[in-house]
Amino acid sequence: MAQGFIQAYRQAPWRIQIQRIGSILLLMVVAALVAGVYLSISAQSSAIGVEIQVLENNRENMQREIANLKNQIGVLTSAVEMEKRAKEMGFEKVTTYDMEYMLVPGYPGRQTAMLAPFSGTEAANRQVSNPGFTTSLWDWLARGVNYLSEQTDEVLP
Amino acid sequence: MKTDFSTRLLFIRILFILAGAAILLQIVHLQTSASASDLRKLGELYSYKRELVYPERGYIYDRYGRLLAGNEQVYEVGVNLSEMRGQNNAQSIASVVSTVLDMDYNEVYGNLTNPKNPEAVYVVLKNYVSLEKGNRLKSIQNEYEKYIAEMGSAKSQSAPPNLRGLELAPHLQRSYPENNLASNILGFYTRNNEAVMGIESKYNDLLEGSPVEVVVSIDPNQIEEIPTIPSGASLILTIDREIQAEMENIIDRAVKSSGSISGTLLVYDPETGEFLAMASNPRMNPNVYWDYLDMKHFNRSVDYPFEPGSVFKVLTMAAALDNGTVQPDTPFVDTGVIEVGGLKIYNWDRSAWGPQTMLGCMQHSLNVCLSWVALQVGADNFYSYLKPSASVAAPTSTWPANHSGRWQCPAMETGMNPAWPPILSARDFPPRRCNW
Repeated sequence: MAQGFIQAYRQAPWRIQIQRIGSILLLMVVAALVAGVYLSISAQSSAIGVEIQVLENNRENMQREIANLKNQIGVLTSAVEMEKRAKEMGFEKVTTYDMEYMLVPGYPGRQTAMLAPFSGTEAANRQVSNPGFTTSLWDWLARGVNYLSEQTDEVLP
Repeated sequence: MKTDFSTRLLFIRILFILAGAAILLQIVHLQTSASASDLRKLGELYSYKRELVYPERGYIYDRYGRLLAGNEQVYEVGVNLSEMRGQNNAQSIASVVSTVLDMDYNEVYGNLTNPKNPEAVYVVLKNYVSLEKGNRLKSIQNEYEKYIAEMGSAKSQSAPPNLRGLELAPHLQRSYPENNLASNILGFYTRNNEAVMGIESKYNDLLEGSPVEVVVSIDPNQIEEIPTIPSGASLILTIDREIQAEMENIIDRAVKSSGSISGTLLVYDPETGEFLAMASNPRMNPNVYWDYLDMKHFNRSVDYPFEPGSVFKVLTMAAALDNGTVQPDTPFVDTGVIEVGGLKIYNWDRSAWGPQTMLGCMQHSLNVCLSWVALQVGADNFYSYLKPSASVAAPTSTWPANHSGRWQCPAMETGMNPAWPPILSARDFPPRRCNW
């Protein structure tokens, strides 16, 4: 009786094989998906890494170019060049006898150059990734709660 | 039949399991073996490189922001020997480089085929190549590549000669757009990264900034932003470029017309003490500093003692006026000669100027009158006005000391004999007394 009961509910051998094959295939598909996602993310990360390297090289090139252009401006506006250009344009050098000095009320005179404040090393700690990516859920919630409490305080009488 | 198949299948299974287990064991072994840490270090060594990044050198401007010292882009031209294929390639590189950079063909070719270091993989042919020549080399290299691409035979054995391996590494070098203008003030910065003389040397710590060692990842997955290295601090001088240029023209003409060896000229604002110009002749062009290595005095306003001459009369008269010994309209009859301590002092033109006031004495720069004024002030009072300045170095002149330890300064009131750099006359006027 017992033997007959088991026999009645036992799977057919081909069905058991198909189940096993199906399970293995499922595992393989899952593994392939995970590997695919990993490869995709990894490739994107590498591509962005290379892009950062390229951009840093570009930045260095541009910094050199800026320095070079500043120097070229210096050469083009040098005292000798400016005098030469002025002569070519028909200007003549003024002497003390040709000059007339006028007092202009309120005019403070020609102002000397001022340099921008020294930038320091603040940029050295700049993060590549957006801070949003590194904020924890807890920090985000805490910030939200703080913001809401501040809003509430403001409307209280 | 069925049993044989099952046995084979079992054998294959065991084989795969054993192979997998062997791979796993090897992985575990590699991670835990004694040489694992060494391998990890070796891996890290190749995944990062350390670079010493030099910040851009700071600029020097005149008082209105006009550039006096900046930086320009130049190239280091070299050849990557591992990329240079064959003798034909070396010939074409040597030919192009020697033509564009005015170098000897045989020397360049010899460097490429027989480098001094046989294990060298990179040979520097020339450094500090101008942007124009570097770009010309680049365009020729591109033309070669374009030609090869059109021929379609670059990878074949019969590849035509090309410039592969030729590399141009851009970098900055110090540049002085005004050439020799104010060069005696600026100093210069050599290609060996040495700041020599002038502002360049004095404020080198500020101008050069701080080199920073950065770790650069080679692995693109580990990439990090290279920190921004702040440039060296820039400086604004009190010098006015236009006044400086004009003063240099004046001193150049004066030296030439008088047949003098040298000359110096200072312009400063008496209200603020700011120097507006400091011209010196001769002076150098710092862009080609190597042509002036035999120059003895770089900035005669600072490093060359001179007799102040009649400039000193201002001090003598100021002391007398302050002391109340004379007034601007105090009369004096100039006889053309005065004897002080056994020394006869004459006027600059050796003539007698007759009745004068103190104003006239100054206007005509009369030595006799000013000597008389100094005698009226008295030696002790006169010397007390010549207070030494602690910030000023002692002069290099060798005056004899008398019994009291004071330096003897005959005719000092007229500016004869004592000597110090002109800048001291302007900056620390009155400069000093004789007993240092």
